[in-house]
Amino acid sequence: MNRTFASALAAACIACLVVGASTVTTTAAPEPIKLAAILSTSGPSAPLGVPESNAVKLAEREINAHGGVDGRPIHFDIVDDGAKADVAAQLATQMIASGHVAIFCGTRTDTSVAVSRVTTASNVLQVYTTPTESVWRTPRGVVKNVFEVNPRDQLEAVALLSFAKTRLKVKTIGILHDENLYGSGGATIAAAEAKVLGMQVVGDEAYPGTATDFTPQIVKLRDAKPDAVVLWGATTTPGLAIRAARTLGLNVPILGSSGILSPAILNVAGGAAAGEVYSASPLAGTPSPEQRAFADLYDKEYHLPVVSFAANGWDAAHILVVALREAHGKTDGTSLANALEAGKPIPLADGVFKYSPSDHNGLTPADVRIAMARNGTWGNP
Amino acid sequence: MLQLLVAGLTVGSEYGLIALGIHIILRATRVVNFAQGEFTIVGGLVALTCVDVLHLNMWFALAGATLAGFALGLAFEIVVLRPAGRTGEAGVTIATIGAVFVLLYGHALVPGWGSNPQPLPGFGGPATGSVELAGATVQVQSLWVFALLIAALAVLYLFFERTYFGKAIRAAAENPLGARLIGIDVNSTRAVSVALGIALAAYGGTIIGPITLVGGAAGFALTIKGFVAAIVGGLESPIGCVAGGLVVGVLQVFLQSRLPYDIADPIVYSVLLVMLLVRPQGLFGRRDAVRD
Repeated sequence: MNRTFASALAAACIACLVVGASTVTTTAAPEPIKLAAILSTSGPSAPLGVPESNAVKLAEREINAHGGVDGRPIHFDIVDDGAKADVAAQLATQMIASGHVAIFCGTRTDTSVAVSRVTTASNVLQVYTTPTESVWRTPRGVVKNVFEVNPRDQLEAVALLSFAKTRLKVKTIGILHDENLYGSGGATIAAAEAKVLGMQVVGDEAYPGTATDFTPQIVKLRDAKPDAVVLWGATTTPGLAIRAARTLGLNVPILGSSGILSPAILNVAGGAAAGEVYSASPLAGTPSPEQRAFADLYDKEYHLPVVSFAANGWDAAHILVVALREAHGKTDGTSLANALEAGKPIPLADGVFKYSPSDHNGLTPADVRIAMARNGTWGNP
Repeated sequence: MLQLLVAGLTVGSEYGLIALGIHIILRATRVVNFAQGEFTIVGGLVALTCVDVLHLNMWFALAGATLAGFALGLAFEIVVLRPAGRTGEAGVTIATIGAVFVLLYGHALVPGWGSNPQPLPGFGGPATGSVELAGATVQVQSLWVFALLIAALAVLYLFFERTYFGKAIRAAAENPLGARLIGIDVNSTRAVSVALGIALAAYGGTIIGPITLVGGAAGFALTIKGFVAAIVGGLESPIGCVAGGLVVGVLQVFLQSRLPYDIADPIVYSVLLVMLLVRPQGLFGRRDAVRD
């Protein structure tokens, strides 16, 4: 009798365990899709990488709150490359080996290039946020798995110089740029676009990213007497360059890349004393509904205004998710790239991305607008 | 020309103060403090806190940053350099290199500091003010930098030449064993020397802050420029270090005004190698000051 009871009890327990286990199996949250964000959140590019990282965290939360990818949540492992290309490449190798299906890298052109070699060899989708198209458009053709999430330099240059020619009646320009890949690449493109528009380039000066004194460069540009100065740089250094220009009597309009569109740069430049300064950026002008929604979320979370790097980070996270959704369960680089190249319009903070097999930037000049600094704040010209 | 000269002397003043700090610490510890530029950055950031958080004016901010630099220097000597010294001079040198990275990445984590360079108000007026001098536009803050550099040198001269403790530091640096025999506490003089060197870095970071911003990742580059200045002027000569800073600053600005940046800057650095080969005692040092 006792044995029968014990057997029945054991059977009941096993049944409970099986039912319990199956219940656990059916109600457990699905495994998150692992994504990597390799960003420069320390070192000289931290002013760019930190807002990108903030935006990625916000994007992850919002995407998961809206169902993730077909019901599966996403999870970004955000790691810091310290603005070093070799570190970024090493981190990419580790991330791919540990099952991350797509990579957002990076903050800088050199880190993005280094990581593209790893992702291309492993057929893993990569998005990056510098405006340098040479990362995906190489002499050997378009790199299938690498996509840009930022208006490329050429779009900004066209917008700025067209504005300078038509609205400011500029005939000669001087160029002042950071010596890094971003600044020197932008300067080369700006010089080429100026020639296309019939403008003369009367000076071209570089400064190091850590520059604190701009007297030699500003004096040379001032002596060349340009109608306007094109400034290509990021972080807060361009603010010092603008301040030096005004202090040393170079009072012509300054037209800066999207890297200067930040309140901090105007603050460094001396607020209202910065004078006539313009920038080209998707964030300029009247915000689109997508930009407004992102700006509200960002402000609510971080109590900060949106800078272009935050918008880039937000868009990068969303573009990876669009690729995953459109690839219907496939995660290899080719399938994800095909999904993006299909060309479905993706409206985000930087504009409406419409990628194609020959265009891995996806934006058009219509996505770039001009902002003007007035009394220490950015507004419409 | 005058404009370039003033700009060169302004950046050179910072290099000179860093070189002088390197010199003082080198005399006391026999090693080069590679973190000197990072302490310059931290000093400027302390001044920023004094202004932004404590709402002090720039004069009190300068005093606060200098005192904080002194305290930080004492702690640096007692907690880092002294224990590292047990492994020899190489250990202390490596400890200073380690401090570079601790300070570089550590300061970015402090609330209100971050990794972004930030503006500091000017001394006696706005940071952007300028005046016309002999046809050249000169930043008012550059004039303050020169005045405050001279004031610091005068105070240091009086301290080392006219005070008992200053003389004790010099004696201990020159001959530690002899100093011990006559009752000087060599550990204390060494700690105060390091503290003075770091206080000088913090002072330099603050007086130049209204012109160059404070914070950021430029500390190590500043150390190297300070080191070039010290070698040019004479690593064993305090006046030579300051003069070397001014020479390097003016040379840098004049070269950049004539040549593209990527050619001018390597030339400035190569001056270090040329000086070591041709005149290792520096422009202002005595030949017998070069040690084996």
